[in-house]
Amino acid sequence: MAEVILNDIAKIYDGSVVGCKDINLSIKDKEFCVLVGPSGCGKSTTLRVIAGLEDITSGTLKIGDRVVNEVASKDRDIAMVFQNYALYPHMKVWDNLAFGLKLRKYPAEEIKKRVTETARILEIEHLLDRRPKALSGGQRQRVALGRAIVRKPKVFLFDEPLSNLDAKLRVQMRVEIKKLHARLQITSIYVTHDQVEAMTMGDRIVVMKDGYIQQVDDPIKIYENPSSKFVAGFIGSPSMNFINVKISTNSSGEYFTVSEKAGGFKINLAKKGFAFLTPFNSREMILGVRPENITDRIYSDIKEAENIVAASVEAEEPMGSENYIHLKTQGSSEIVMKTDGANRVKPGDRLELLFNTEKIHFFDPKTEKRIYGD
Amino acid sequence: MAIKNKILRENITSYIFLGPFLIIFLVFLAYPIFYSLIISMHKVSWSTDLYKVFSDMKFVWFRNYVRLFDDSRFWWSLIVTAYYAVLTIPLSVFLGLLLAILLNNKLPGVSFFRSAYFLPSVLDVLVVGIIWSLIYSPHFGILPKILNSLGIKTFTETGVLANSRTALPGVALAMVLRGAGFGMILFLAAIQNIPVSVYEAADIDGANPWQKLIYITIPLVKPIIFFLVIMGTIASLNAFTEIYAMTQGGPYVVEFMGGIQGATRVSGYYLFEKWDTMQYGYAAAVSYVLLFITLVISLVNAKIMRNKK
Repeated sequence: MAEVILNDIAKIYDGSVVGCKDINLSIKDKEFCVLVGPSGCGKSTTLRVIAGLEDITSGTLKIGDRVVNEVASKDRDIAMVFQNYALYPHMKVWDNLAFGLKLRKYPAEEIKKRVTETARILEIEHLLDRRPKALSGGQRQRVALGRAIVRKPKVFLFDEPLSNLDAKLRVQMRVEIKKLHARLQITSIYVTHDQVEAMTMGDRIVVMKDGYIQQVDDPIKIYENPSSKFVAGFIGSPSMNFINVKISTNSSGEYFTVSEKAGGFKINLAKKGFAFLTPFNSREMILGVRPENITDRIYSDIKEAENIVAASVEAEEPMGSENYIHLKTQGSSEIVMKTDGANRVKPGDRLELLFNTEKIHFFDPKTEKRIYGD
Repeated sequence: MAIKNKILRENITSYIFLGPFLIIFLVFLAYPIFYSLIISMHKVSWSTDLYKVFSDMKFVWFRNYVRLFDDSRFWWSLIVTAYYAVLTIPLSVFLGLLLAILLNNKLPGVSFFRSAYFLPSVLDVLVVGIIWSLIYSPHFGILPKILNSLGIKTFTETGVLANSRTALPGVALAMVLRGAGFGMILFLAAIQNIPVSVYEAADIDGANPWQKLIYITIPLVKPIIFFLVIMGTIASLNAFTEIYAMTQGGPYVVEFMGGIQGATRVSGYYLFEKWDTMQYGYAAAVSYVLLFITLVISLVNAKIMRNKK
């Protein structure tokens, strides 16, 4: 039962290397908050700062209503699950679970009760007599989870807990951790580099890059309204297509014409809905469109030959239920389109594409910030 | 047929490569081991012909071994050996672990100290023994001098090694300090193999540095401890050079089973004395009893190790 509040937290190594900086984050009680970003983005550093495994260079960290900057890890009432599980290799599963309780001098009765209960929740009762070496990756991960929940801490910290598992198990454990969170209702902070994990697990996602927070919001809002080109490209798979374009006003003055910079397609957008483009008239921008917002004209109701993006197929990745088609436009922009699995193509095929103009994004090429209206 | 030829060719090649070692092994190890067993069943008297040392030997079955059981000096040497093992093994394990833990920290000059502590292990035991004899020696030895200035005058006149109570501990200390660097390197390697995250997990679980040492580090370096105990046991049973360099088995002042015994006459040195006085058959018998003890201890250790796993 605790909020975690990070106020202007910074971790600077050796006086100049930024681990993380300007971290302002307020994680609500019972929330499942995911820190996501590419490697080196500072997400693990932030987590380790919260865990007390790294000193805080500046800022204040509150867990519950206590400032814990100077409080040792063991007294922060947190539990952490590590990427490599970090089980005690010489102890049986039982002792791995009980170790923290023993150190805290819980009575033997209570220890037994809690370990048994935890083992039951995680379905590892039959493994209690084994050592970590005799467990599979998934089982080890369960024990690591057990070691965290057995203490009933105020906050769970997860440091890429699923990265060492194979793909199938990862999907399974993802759901289990979510269920566990729903059941235990403990504030959780989860670090991952996998945007799918972030999207599927988080109540809220914190996207980080180079030590700074890029955007904090719930998964769908981040997906639909990314604040920058980086976030737009990082969240979503296959990732958003970016095309360098020029903005101009058409002859009638009613439309902005978005034309591919290297010469190619032209898309007319009604000025009314895209008034925010006015300052960028006759300038370059980056157009962003997600693969699922591109359609092949033959599957569309639109009959007019307007706003068509001609492209030729380079390759396809059939996934069964869907098909990712890699294309090259006339202006040599490489884009990916997501279609129904039944829609098969061959390299060299020429397609006429339509972009869903309600779902396209514009980014300032200099700042890479997203430019949008209200 | 072709395959058979190929295997044959490979075998011949293998033996050619093994050859040089096998020849050395047979001449300098296998043959002496076997021949000393034969000698141990002979009475070898003082030779009249230096070029045919074993010319007048007489087959006496197991009489050498029977004599050993009655030999108070031999029993005494076993006691001294055991005492020597007790003095050296726990201390060197402890010291090696302590150094490893200290030098596992990221402190300035750590790599210098790692090399410095390891260096004595490279020195010959004889050299170390002589250096320590000087350190221990009466009047000019640095240790008695320091102790003297602190008001402890026990060693000023006799030194450390001429005192029957301190002679063996003195030798043991020298050897522990020489060998600690070796243990340190093994412990360091083992400690550095423990993932940092295991310690971090322990931090979060609530362990203080002392508890991390007791519950995590020591259990995880247990194989090294076992290894050092076995090696230490064997080294004690083989101990000779350090005694030869430092005390020659003396001082000869201890009374035991009706005889005067050397305070530092370990079995290895007793064996040497027998050999030095040309009692080759008897010396060989001593060496075989020591070999037997070594084997038993190693087997017991191996069994304990296997049970631990």
